[in-house]
Amino acid sequence: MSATTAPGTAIHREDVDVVGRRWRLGVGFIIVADASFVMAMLFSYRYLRGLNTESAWVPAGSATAPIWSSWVLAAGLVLSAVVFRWGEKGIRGGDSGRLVLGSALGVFLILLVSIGQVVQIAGFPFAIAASAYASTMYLLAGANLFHLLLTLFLGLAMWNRGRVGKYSATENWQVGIVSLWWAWVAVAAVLSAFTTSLIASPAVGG
Amino acid sequence: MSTLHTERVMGLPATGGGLMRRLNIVTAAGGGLVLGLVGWAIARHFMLENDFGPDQVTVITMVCWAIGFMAGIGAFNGPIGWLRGRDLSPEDELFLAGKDQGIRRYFRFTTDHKVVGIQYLVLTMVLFGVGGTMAMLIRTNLISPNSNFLSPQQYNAIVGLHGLIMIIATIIMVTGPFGNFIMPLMIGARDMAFPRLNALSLWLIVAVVPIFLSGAFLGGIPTGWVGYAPLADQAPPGMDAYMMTIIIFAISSAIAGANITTTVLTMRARGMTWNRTPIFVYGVVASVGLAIPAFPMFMASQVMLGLDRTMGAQFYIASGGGNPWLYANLFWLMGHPEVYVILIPAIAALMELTAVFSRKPLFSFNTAVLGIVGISVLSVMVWAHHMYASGWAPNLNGAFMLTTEMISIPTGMLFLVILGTIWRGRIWTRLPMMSTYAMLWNFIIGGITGLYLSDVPLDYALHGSMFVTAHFHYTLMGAGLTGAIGALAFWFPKMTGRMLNERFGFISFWLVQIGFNVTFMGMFAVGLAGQPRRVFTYNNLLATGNFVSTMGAYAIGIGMLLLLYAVISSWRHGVLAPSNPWGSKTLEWTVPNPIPLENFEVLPVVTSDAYGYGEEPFTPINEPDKLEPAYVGSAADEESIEGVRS
Repeated sequence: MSATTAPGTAIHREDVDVVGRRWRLGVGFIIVADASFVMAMLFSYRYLRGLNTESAWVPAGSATAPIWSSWVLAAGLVLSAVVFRWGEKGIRGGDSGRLVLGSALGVFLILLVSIGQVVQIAGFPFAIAASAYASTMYLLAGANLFHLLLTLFLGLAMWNRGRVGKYSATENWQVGIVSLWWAWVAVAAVLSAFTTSLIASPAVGG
Repeated sequence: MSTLHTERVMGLPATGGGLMRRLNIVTAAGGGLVLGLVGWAIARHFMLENDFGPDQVTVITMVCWAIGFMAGIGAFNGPIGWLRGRDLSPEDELFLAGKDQGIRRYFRFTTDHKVVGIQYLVLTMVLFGVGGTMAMLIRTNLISPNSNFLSPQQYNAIVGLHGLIMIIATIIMVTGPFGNFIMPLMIGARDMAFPRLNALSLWLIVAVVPIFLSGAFLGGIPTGWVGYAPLADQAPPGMDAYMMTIIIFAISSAIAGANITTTVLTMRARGMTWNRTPIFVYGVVASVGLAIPAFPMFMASQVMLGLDRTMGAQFYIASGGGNPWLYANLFWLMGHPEVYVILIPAIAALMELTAVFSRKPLFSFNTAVLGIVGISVLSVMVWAHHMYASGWAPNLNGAFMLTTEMISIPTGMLFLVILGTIWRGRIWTRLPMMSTYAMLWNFIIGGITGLYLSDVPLDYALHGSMFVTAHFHYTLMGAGLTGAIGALAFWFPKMTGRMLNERFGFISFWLVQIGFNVTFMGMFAVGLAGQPRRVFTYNNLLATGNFVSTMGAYAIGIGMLLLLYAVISSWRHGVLAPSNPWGSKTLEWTVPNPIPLENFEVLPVVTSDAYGYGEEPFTPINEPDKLEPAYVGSAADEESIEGVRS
């Protein structure tokens, strides 16, 4: 390999946009990994539902979770992502107050959804050991709660860092990355709600 | 979240970071022990009194250990500081990079990719040491049909632990040390894209070592390394160690994968087009690229196993509507790509060095790339060939047989590239090149026996036998580990600043390779004769084959000890290495020994491909003891060499 040196090449310093693009790609890969994790859990739900082993996916006479609860939580998450996105657009235009407000509102909504998630788990009309359906419901709810806590951390950081003036119209790539993650978490919640809306197994007496 | 490169680093005042400067592996172990003990005490108090079993206590203790360890090493300092709006000062970043810390930087949350590479190298050697010792114990027990060297429980526990440790070690053996140390240099970068994530991925694996070793004292892993449900649901708490190990390792792999892939995609030197990017870089990216989606699925399977074991969930219990096939699918969706996560970078390293020692351009670079891509794509379409005998989707057996046999085509391409590179080359037979020869021999055997096993009727006959064990050792050890040893011999001068003692290296090579073939040829024989794998005892008719295998294993053990001696003695007292002892043309050889903190004072601009060998005369130096070090250092530089060496 032949190589020359380039006296004009900047050393020890990189453009903030370059760093931002790099982080966006890296976080994209992390999201791919997380998506693989989520898909594995959703696949498990569909697979066990489809097999209905020993007719015990949802044993006859046992209770199931209300479908609307997962959709309400997903809607809350989508709303929080939209609100944060509104804040992100604000900082892109140099309005740091909008970022702080958007982050604060987003965090508030995430807190509400987290509480709702805990309430949903506590209120499931079945124990985790009741059936494969019950087990996957707890699993997906737990995974959503984990997502929520991570997003809460990121949202708090955005609010605090926005408050102390860490971001501006020209330097806001971290906000964009958090927005990307937030959007993915909302998508995952919607996918989870959609999947768990399908309860009755198509296989009878499997 | 700024990196070392984002700001000019010199001459700025420090802004705190006092705690960060006091954290190291001792505080990490202390943090892990304290939090682990607290977790254990609380869990024991509340769980056992409320009719929970030991699994809950074990899992909580392990989680607390891991959190305490990572807190103690300083992994959470960055995120918490970031939350508080306190970014690291340039001086803090330099401290994190290990500047002026000598040997101490190897025991800290250091971000310099070269330090992380050395940490991975040492960690890999430790893992191989532990796993190899277990292999010796297994073979000693099998030296005769009823040796009773181990109890059946001990034997089961050790077989599972050996498998798990070796799988982890082989997964990280190339992408860990060489992907971290060499790859950024090779692409002309100053560091990895995300230096702190790089350190995080390393220390997560360090945190997990005590967890999986604790499995030996918690009843072992009686399921073998696959951890099949529902046996795993019923196994002793050692299985919790397995589960926690996989979960943490999967997180580490995802982080490392994102980091390495982003580094290659965004930080290659100017002019380093894809046609000029060295083949080793392709191998590393393919490996971690496969790991990014594959390991989270394995992680999900373990989370479900954990819920089964600790909370009575029903994922894998048929009577509760669960199904063990779910585990098998999730496991092998990771498990087969994982074989190529191990193999591809090892073979890519050998392709890299084969061009150097043949003094010829890599034969058909495009074929090599196509082969790597082809293997990567096909590797996610073959998982169910591990499940022919499980009864899952028998109608799909034919399809999976076809995809499995198809994977021999891109694999053959890689053989063709290596053979074509050697063909009529001016071969310079040094220790690294010996690994290429050994890999060609071993991988032919491992690959062809793999074709046998992909055949459905034959697989029904051989499934679960020692034949399978011999087959995958021929691929993972005969090709993968051999490739990693070749990579070590090749890049040792750049990583340590010293030449590897080739006399001991050659003795080790022959002992290991002869021992390896004796061990696993014997295993093929007893497998064909019907000996199942993972058995504590066997029929007297199989005694000779097992005795031969054990003798071969001892030869491997002695050979590996010699290699370890060669590595340690050369690292401490070896001849100082020139900056480019092999006359290689890739960028890592253009930096001096010891390598500056940021690698390149001025970033290189690449103007040709990496394999222009034979274009100008090169006089190889066949006697390493007479090598003149290109780098003649001052006393201060000697200290730096000491640091690298340590």
